[in-house]
Amino acid sequence: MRSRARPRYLDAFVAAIVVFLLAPIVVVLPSAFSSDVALSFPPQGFSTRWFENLSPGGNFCRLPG
Amino acid sequence: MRTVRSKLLIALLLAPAVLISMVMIAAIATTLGISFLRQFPGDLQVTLANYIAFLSQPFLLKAAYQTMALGLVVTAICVVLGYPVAWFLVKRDTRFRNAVFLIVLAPLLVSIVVRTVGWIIILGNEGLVNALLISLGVIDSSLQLMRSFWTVVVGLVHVLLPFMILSIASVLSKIDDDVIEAAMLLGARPATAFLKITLPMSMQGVAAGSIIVFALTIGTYLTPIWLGRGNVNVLAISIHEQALISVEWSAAATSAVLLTIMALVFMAIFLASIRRMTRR
Repeated sequence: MRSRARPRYLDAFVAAIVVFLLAPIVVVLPSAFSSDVALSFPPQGFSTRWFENLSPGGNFCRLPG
Repeated sequence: MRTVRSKLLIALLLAPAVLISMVMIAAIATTLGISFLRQFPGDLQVTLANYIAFLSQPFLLKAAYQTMALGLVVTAICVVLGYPVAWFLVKRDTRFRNAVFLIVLAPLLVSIVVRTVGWIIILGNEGLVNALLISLGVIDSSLQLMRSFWTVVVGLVHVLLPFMILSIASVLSKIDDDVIEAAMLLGARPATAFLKITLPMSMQGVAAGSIIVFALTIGTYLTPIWLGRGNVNVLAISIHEQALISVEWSAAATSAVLLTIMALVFMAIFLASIRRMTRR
């Protein structure tokens, strides 16, 4: 094939799209372990308190009403 | 005997489709009917007042304009970004193809809520992009990346790109490589072969993908609220406010009817131009 150079551009483009598609899904994971109340990146500190909230008896399950 | 039985079979097979379309038509007809009533429930006088009220409210007209603009921009970007990826999935022979295919499908397996939160983490004032730019010394204080039309565009393209890629890829995979090879043998350069043969033949996939993306964009509700934060008002948000917050069913029905009509007009224009392009 004469057009050897073209797949390289295509591959780079597809790589960029792959990053675009995965980025928002990936950044959610470390944020789940943030100790901060607000969403920020990089996450401030490490804690599992958001997971503890989810467990039975955690804050999330003790909402009024 | 046989014809009677096959007719019965056809009637049985059609029954679910008829049932579903009857329910859908009933819903649309009810909405259409309510939009012509002065106040529902209550004053059931037939009137055009709701339509006049819609057209005289700059807020709603702006929402209609933004909804359509969002639909067109998101669809166009999805075509431009999706076509090369679909091409890669179908024509490029590498070992990464299956991985890319899985990654294209991956967003569909994750809730829109999670993906939108992801964009808030990336684009927010204390987000990834701002943190990166500040640490590199490009900017001193945070850029306002949220709350704009283009933030919503980014979020929606991310949500809807897989639909576009998959519908273009399904049509591209049906195009015989021999046809393109024949064009090359007859002296066409790769670019010419693409423009004259592959692109027109794949237009059906582009059309199908565009209709899915456009229809889903103009009906979108969550992404403009979360990423636009009140700066991007689309008709879906207005309809929600009219129906469930200010409880004006007639006004909400009017907005819904006008949104549907606008969507149908845009799709008709789009399909007609696609048809003209492929015929030539």
